[in-house]
Formats: sequence, C-alpha cells, structure tokens
Amino acid sequence: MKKILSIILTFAMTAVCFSGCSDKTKPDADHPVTLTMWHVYGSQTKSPLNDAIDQFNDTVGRENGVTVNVVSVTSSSAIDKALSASANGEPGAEDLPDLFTAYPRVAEIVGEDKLLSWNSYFSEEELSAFRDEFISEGYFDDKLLMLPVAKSSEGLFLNKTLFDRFSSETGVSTDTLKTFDGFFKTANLYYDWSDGQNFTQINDFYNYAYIGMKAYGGEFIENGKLNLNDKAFEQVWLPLSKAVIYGGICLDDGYAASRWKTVEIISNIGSTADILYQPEMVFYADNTTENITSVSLPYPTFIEDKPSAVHRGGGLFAVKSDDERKNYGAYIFARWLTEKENNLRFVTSTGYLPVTDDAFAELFADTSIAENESYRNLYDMMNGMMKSFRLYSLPVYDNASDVQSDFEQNVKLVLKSAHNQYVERTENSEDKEAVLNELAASSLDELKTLCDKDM
Amino acid sequence: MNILKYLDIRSLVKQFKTEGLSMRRRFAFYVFSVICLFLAVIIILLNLFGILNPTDRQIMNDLNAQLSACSDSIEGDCDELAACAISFSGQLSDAIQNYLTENHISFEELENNSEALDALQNRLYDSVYLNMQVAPASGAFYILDTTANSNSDTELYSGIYLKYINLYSENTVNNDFSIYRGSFSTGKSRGINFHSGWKNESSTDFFEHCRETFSGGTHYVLSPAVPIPDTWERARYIYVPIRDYNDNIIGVCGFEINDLLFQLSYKIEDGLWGDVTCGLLDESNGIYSGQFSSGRYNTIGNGLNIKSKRGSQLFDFGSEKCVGLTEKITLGKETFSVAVMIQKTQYESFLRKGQINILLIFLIAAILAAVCCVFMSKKYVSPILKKIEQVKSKEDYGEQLRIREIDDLFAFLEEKDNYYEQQLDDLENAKRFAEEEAQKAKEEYEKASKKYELAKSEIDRLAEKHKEEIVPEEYQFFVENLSMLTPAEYRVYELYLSGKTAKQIAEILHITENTLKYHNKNIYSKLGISSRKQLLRFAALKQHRDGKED
Repeated sequence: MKKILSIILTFAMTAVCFSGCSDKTKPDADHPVTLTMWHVYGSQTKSPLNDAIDQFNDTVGRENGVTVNVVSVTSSSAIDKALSASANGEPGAEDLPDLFTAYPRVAEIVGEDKLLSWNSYFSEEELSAFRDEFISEGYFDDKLLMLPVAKSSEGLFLNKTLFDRFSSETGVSTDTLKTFDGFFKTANLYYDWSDGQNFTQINDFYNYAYIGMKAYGGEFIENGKLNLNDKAFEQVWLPLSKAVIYGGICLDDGYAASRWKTVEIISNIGSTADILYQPEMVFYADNTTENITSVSLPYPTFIEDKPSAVHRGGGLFAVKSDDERKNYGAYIFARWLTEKENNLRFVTSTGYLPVTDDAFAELFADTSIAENESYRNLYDMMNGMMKSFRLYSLPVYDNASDVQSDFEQNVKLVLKSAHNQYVERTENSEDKEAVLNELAASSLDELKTLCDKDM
Repeated sequence: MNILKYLDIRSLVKQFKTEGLSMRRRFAFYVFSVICLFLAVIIILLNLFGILNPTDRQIMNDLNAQLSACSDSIEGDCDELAACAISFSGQLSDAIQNYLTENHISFEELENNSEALDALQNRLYDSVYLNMQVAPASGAFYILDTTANSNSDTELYSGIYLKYINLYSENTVNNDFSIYRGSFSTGKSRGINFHSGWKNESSTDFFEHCRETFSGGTHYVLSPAVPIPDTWERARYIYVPIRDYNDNIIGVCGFEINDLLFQLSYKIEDGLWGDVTCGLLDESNGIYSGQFSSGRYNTIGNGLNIKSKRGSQLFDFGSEKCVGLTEKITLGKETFSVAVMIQKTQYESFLRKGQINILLIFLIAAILAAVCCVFMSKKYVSPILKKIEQVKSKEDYGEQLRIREIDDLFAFLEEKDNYYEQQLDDLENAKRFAEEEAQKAKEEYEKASKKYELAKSEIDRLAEKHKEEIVPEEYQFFVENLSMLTPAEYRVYELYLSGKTAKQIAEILHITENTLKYHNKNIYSKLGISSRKQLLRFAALKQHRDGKED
C-alpha cells in the first residue's frame, strides 16, 4: 500500500511541477511571444526587411512561437531620437521596442545594461561565421550588443541620364569622379552648366572628414574628440568648402532621393543602401517627367593609390527583457536573419552587404543573384571596392552621436553662410577666386570655433 | 511500462486472487473508491454546468471588455477625426472661395490652369499642414475636382497630400513629414521632403464614390483599408466633401490612418492572455479585411474568414487562426466590425492549462483522499488487528473495543475458547487415565506372562513327571481312539480341555447335565479312561507332544 501511495505521490508531484513549471526560457507555438521592432531597412516605397520579417513570421517564427511586429520603419537619425525619447521616458514616447536596428552609438543612449548580449545566445561556432570586421564593431567590452545583419559602404550614385547630357556638352566623364578633386571640379562645372543647380549632396560630412584624414595620415577623432586642428583636416576641408561655397554641393537637410526626384541634384555620396531610394523617374518644375537610369560608382578617393571608405550600417540590438522567452525569441529571429540564404535575399534587395563569410563569398562569386540591373551594377562596384579599398568603421566614444550630428549641422551652417556671402560678394564684382579662398579659410576657423563650443 | 512494471500489477492481482486483501487494504480501497466515485460525479456535474473549466469564460469576458474598450476608442477617434475633417473642409471651402473671388475666376476655370492651381495649393497648404498636426492621423489631404492636365491618360485631381514619415509613436507631433501628392512648387518652395512615391496629382478613384455618398447627406465616410499607391503601406481614409457656396461638391478632404498609426493607436498591452489583437474590419461578401493592432495581421489580414463557434468567433487568416469576439459599429453610414482576438494555439494552450489545473486539483484531492483512507483504515482497523494479535498470542481478551459487533464476536470467541479449553482438559484427563490404565494392563500382562511362563514350565515339568506315571498302552489307546468320538463328543472333549466345568459346558452346548453325562460315558468308554482327571492328563500330554512335534 505504502509503495503504491508513494508512486502516486511522486507522480502527482511531478505533474504539479510540470504544470506549473513549463519551460519558460523558450517560446513555442503554445506560448508565443511578439517582439516589437523599429528598423531602418526600408524606404517609403519598399521595405525588404518587412518582407523578410513576414517570411520569418510565416515559417521559423510560427514554428517557434515568435512573431516580429514592425512598429516603425524609420531613418537612423529618427531612430536615435526615438530611442532617446523612450529611454528617457519622455512624455508621449513609446516604450523601447524589443528589437531595433541602429548604429553602435545608441548603446550609450539606451544604456548598455538594458541591451541583450547576443553572445550569451549565439554559440562560438555561430559567431565565427560572421565577418570579423563587421562583428567586432558590435562588441562593447566582452558583450556583443550589436549584431551585424547588413552592412554597407559608401559610394557615389549618379543620374546617368542627366550626367550624359551634361557630359556630352562639357566633355566631363565619370572617370573624373574617381577622386574628390575631380568630383569637386565636376560639381562646380555642373553648377555653371546648369545655371546654378547643385551637382551633388554628401550625406555625411563626418564620414568624408574621417576618411579624408585617414588618407592624409591624420586622425579625425582623437581621445574621443574632433581633431580639427590637424593639418590633415585643412587638406580635407578646403577642397570641400570651396566646392560648397561655389555652389556645386547641396547643403540642405533632407533626403538626397527627394532632390534626385525633383532634379535638384543629379548625384549623391552616401550609403550603398541609398540605391533603395533611387527614383526611376524625375519630375520637372513644369510638371513634366523623365525616366532615368542611374549608376553606382566607387567612393571618390583623396589620394588615388590609397582608396578608402567607411563601412557603415548599424546592426540589430535587442532590449533585455525580464521574460526570457522574449530574449530567446530575439535570438531565433537574429539567427534566422543572418543565415546565409535569408541574409543574402535580404541584403541584395536593399543594397547592403551580407554579414557572414560564406554569404559574402557567394554574393561576390556571382553578383547576378541581385534582383535587377542597377543592384547588379552596385554589387559589381562594391566587389571592386572590397578588393582595392581599405574600409574603416567609425569609432565609438562618449557622445559620438551628438558630436556627429553637431558636426554635420556646423558644417552646413558655416558653409551655407559662406556660400551666401560668396554669392553676394561675387555679384558685387569681387574676385571669385580670392573670395572663395578667403571664405574657405574663414569657414575653417568658424567651424573650429563652433565645434569647440559644442565640445 | 516501467511504472506498470514497478507497480507489478500482476503480482498484486495474483496475490489478491490467492490470498485475498487484508482488512486494512480492503477498507482503504472501498473508501477510496467511494471518494473517487464522488469526485467523478462532481467532475461530470461541473462539466455539465460549464463550471469545470472557467478559463474559456474568463478569456471571453476579458476579450469582451477589451472589445468594448476598442470599439469606444475607435468610435471616439473616428468622431474626432470626422469633426476635424468637417472643420478642415470648411476652412478649405472658405479659402477656395476667397481665392476664386480675389482672382475673379470660377472653379471650372481652374482646370488646366497650373499656375492658378499652384497658387491655390500655396494658399491651402497651411490648412492641410495644420490640420494634419491637430488630427490623430498619419496624413492629411485634399483633392479638388479639377486638374492641371486634363489630357492625361488617367483621370487626375489636383490637391495636396501630406504624410508623416518615421512614424514610431501614436503621438505624431513634431514628426517629419513629406509631400506625397502636390505640385512641385508647393513642395519645393517650402523645402519639404518629397515622398519616394511622390506625384504632382492624385489619380485616386474615391472621389466619384465620395460624390455619390455625400449626395445622401452623409457627414463623413470611413473608407476600407486600401494599399497606398507607390508605397508598401495601407491606410483607411476618413473624408468629407468640400462644397462651394452653392453647396456643390468641388472636392474632398480628410485624413489618412495608415496601418502603422492604427497599430500604435490601438495596441493592447500584453495581458493575462498574451498578445491580444484589435482589428477594425470591413466585410465584403462574407470575406473580411481591415486594419489590426498587430502588423502581422495587417500583412495576412486580407481575405479573412470569420466563423461563429460557441459564443466566440474563429478568425481564419489562412496561414493562421485566431479566436475572439466581434462587435458591429457604425462609422459614418457604413457598418464595420471591431474584433479582438488571440492566437488559436495560445487560446487552446490556456484552455489546456486550465483543464490541467482542474485535473491537478482533482488529483491532489484524490491523493489526499487516499492518504485519508490509509489513515482512517489504520485508525479504524488497527484496534481490531491488535485484538486479533492479542487473541493469537493467547493474551487476555482485554478491555472492550466499544464496537458492538466486534465485542460480541470476541465475547463469543472467548466463550467458545473457554468451552474448548474445558473439552481439552477433559480429553487430557481421559488420556492420562487411559495411559495409567494401559500402564497397569501392561504390568498385569507382564505379571501374567511371568505366571504363564512359570505355569508352562511347571506343566512341562509335570508333564515330564507324569509321563513317567502314565501307562503308555492306555495313552496309546486314548490317542488311537480319539478319532472314534462323535462331533458332539469331541466338542465336549475340547471344552473340557479349555478348562470349562461341566455346568459351563452344558450351558455352552445348551444340553442337559444328563446329556452331558451320556456324552461323558461314551467318551470314557471309547477312550479307555475312567475319570475327567485322567482325560485331562492324557489330553495335556497329547497337546504337549503335538506342540513338540510342531
């Protein structure tokens, strides 16, 4: 009797344990989790990551009880602002999402302690599949807080249809755009040819300065601060400022793609992922339209035999949750997104680079897997860059986000003022060259003063 | 199998069949069976009355509360948007009329007049922008029933359509925005970002629908959720007519509620039942589509089937199923369904969990019952067992158990016991007596044997002695003529030899003394003897000799 009773009691205790203590560390179809996500991988017309997420939700996500719910598709600067608002609990701000894509700088904004360490979930073997230069950027001390899911570099996008028209009349070829020297000259030439239209927009002056100073042997960031007093910065600044002051380069805020569409510019330097935004048609002020073709060109060089560029593109962060199932669900999604097939499908529809060695090798062994001609052209261009360019990742330091955005604003402020002065003074018959040189030099001093204030 | 092996049911059954069950086990088993039966009846009754698993009811109650809240919220927001749209329409109407009056042109004269339309857009822009800022919407627009290019292949309408970009919160204040529809100069002159899908005029077809609808005095229209052309988004539009001073409809204006804003506005925090999704559904020929508070369903939510099922609704998205409730609401003049739902797998998991909890409660009750049974059987039966042990060990029956039947039994057993003890004593006495008697008889026998041996040796001695006294011729005559005796005479002869007296012989043979004397006379004459003494001496000698010869 005692034997039977002890068996029943054991059985009952086990049943109680099982009923109350189901595995609460992993989601499953009966105990699903929904992960909210903010990301930057999409334009207003197309969102390849949303498509990838739909595919995940329909397959691996459903099997494992994980649903990723995209709550916002935004830009990296907007996501920084939104994360800051959420992290600081600003009125009207949403809760932090479970997943978001951003640059490493946001770790400081959100707080490293609030972020999930991916290396607690990914095995050593899984992590070894990532490209070293991409994954190393995501480490904060020994914690991998930012998982690379797609990386990009910078390139030069050109409205080939309109450039050919310009080229046929001026004789300027795309070869001149290989160096910044030729690029700035072309910008000014286009400004004259188009009767005052900007040739281009440089999306990130910070990246321009960083790479330029590397090329000239300097360091743009030293001890977590801008190093504007270095001689190398002057070498970087003067050609840029002259082109901007002359008028060849647009200084307005906003997206280059908008200006492409309204033919305010015919080129821009920016992330290779900008291809997602490139219009196929432009609109003129008289309400007429024109179909265009565009090409992707390598990032111009400062010194021809020392080509270099930044590799950019943030990564995937997960906010640590008290519900371990959510943390594990984030891992399931991240693992799926970085698997070769899924990662290739996603990146080749956005203009990004894959993040694992085997996906990288497969893409550049045959760029025809890209979805259309312009994407194939982009990957061929990137293939060339990968072989000959040195790629730098941007340094992370205290207030990097603020320093970067302040630098962008200060450059625009200083150069816009200088450009206006230039227009005004040259209209008054002052010597263009002298005014240009003077304003370029003074703008450098002004920039230093402004940036010193910010620091 | 291992458990069964461990339980060794077969051996238990075999033991039960061969040895039966102990009183305690039997008692515990009966009581436990009664309790289990009782629990089973309770389960059946609770199940019949739907009380057994309250999870389903709780889920539906909570969903019902969520449904009411969502319906109220959606209705309230639509009313607010409609009020904004009506005010927006009034502002536009006045501004258009003022513009036309100031420029001495009629509305019809705006057609193909891009300059005038641009100028009008510039005048109306602020109104569009401000109303978008004020209203809980993801975009604001107006379109007029006129175009800058009537020769276009598609029918186009002039107007402005502004949309928020980078929407990440229900709160849209200070969000970046772009111009999605509107003239180039309108966007350019204000430095507004052009939407990736920007075009200068709208080709939307809801203008005609609007004209029909508003002729019936409808205050506002909430459109079904439709894809926004040239984007990956979907949206509903809430719109009202723009009328001229003669009450003619010259355009429409309103607001966009895209899926993302709907998601952000009506998201339901994770609650007791996991992710609850709210939806505003349109029905067309029994097929539903709409907007949902979860982006997942906004993707797969077209072509949704809804089936009623025992007080709830089953939402069949094809690749996924949900369970929830719906409620009809009227927005504008159209009827919509508000739905709240949870994933079917999750719902079933909660039900299962509820059922397991109930089963566990009953299992725990059964275990407690089993423990109680064991305890009770021990308490109840152990005095009896103790008493039996006392009886077995022949101790005193002790004090009474105060269980009448058992006390009577033991009293009866005690009485029987006493009786049998008396019987045993008697038997033992009888046995002792018999043993003593046997001992005596044995001793007598031994004495008699000794006497017999003595007598026998004496006889032998006497026989040897008398042998010499007997005349051999007489003895020879006696032996030879013994066969001459008749059977009756021989019988008498034998009786004499056995030591019987004449009287005893007469009695044995039922003859008279005279008959006996007659026989004696014949015997004597035939055997040549003269007395009984001689007869016995010759007979003893003959026996002795016969014995020796044997």
